[in-house]
Amino acid sequence: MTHVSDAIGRVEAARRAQMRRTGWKTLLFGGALAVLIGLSLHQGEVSWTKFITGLPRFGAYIIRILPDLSFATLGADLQGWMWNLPNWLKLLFDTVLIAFVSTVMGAIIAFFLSFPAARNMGFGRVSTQLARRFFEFLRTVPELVFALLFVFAFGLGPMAGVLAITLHTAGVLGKMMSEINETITDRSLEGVIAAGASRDRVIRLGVVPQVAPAFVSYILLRFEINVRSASVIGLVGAGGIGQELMFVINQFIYRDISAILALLIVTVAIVDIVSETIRHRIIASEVSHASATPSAH
Amino acid sequence: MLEITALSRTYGNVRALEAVSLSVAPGEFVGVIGRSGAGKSTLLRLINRLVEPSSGEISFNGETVSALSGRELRDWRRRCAMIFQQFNLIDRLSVLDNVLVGRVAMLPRWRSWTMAWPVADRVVAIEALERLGISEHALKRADQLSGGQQQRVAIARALVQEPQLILADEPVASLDPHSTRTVMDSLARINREDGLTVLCNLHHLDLAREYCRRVIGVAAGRVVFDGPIEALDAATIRMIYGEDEA
Repeated sequence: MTHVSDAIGRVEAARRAQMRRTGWKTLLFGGALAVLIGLSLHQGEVSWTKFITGLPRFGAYIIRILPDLSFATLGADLQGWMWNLPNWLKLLFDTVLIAFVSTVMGAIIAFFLSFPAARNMGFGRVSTQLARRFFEFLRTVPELVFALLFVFAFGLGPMAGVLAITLHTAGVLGKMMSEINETITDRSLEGVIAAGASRDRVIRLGVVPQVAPAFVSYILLRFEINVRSASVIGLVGAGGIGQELMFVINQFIYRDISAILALLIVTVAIVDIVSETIRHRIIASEVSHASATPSAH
Repeated sequence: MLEITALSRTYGNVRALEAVSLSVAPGEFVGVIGRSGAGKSTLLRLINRLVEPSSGEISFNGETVSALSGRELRDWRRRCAMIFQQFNLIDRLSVLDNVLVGRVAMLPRWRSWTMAWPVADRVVAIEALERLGISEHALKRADQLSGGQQQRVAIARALVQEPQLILADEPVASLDPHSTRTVMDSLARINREDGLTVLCNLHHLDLAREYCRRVIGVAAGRVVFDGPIEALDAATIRMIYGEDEA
């Protein structure tokens, strides 16, 4: 039994040494995190008293924008609340379209640039760095700033919104897609390279089938986010429901504010449900491939 | 005593396993043989309850384990340790932590979340690794080990579960001949020294001949042979493996 207790002593000693090596790093990291949190609370003027004294005012605004709905005259009350429904629905439809078009265009840009941006695709360091910095630039500039620039250049309307969201989407999706590309295994690529395929065909036949489900999942998620972005971006005059929302907020038309917000919530929920369904279909088809041979090992 | 009665599993309209009945006495080393897709994996997965039975019953020492749920089900899983063809280790954890995964069902939840394993459990894990001759790799990441070493880590994980039954699903199908021998010898030794019941799926008849006294032949989801290895004649082998491979 002595060699067993030798082994225990040896492994335990090595484990202690390893923990000593990583221990101070953990401590340093934890300390730095605590300092950063403290600093940001201080700089951001986060104060509990302010939060608690402000809460009633928050509630008051909500109560002010709520419509008067009574059960007895519900139909008429709803009609009064949603008096501008056709116009709002058209604007909402515009908003979803802005989100859709810009998601598609942003995804296309991201897709093609995500391969040079990945380190394992053999494009060389220069093009990898260029693609990555380009994505970074697109991500860093806020959508609202892009939108303001485009409103200045192309005038008020949806076009400015579409362009702004497209660029931001390309930046975010490009980073995600290139990182997904870096997770794939080189082994399966060798199979395609060894058959004499050029690099683009290695990507098409070896990489794309592996990354496609993750790509689709992220694109759908981005579409949901873009519906929200598209309604906010209207605030600077870049089309859609946001432009109307800004107008009623500025004019203190309280009941219209709640009507538009309610419609927005419903729209976003519908978009969520639809894209969730699509995503599940995709995942389900993956699973059914895997279980096609149920009783094999 | 493991007793299986009229156990069936269907996937859609594919019958993976149909009306299987068998019993295994404590301390037996049973080989389950058959072609790929015959239902061997499904049988082992049903016993561990990784797959739910469509009908039939599994009982162990008189306790019906096919109806367990929640904590009792998890304790049953601890008692019948699985060993997989692809080892199923967590690549990014150390070998030692992988072995300690075998203790999860016995330790409080916060121990798992913090991975602050008690000394006593670490000692058990290192002993298991030492027994399988790989304690010098204890602190390496699991994916740095060779296939044969990884499978021995998986056996160590199974051992620290303190199981009553070991279910090995093609444990050597992805290993070279030398590693195959080490892994099968380890299983045989555990069976001999600890008296643990072992149910082992095997592709190859030669391995079954060498290590198992009793074999169960599975073909198209049914048990077509159950008896001592010596009783396997050419006709039975043809029935298990099909004409073309006989």
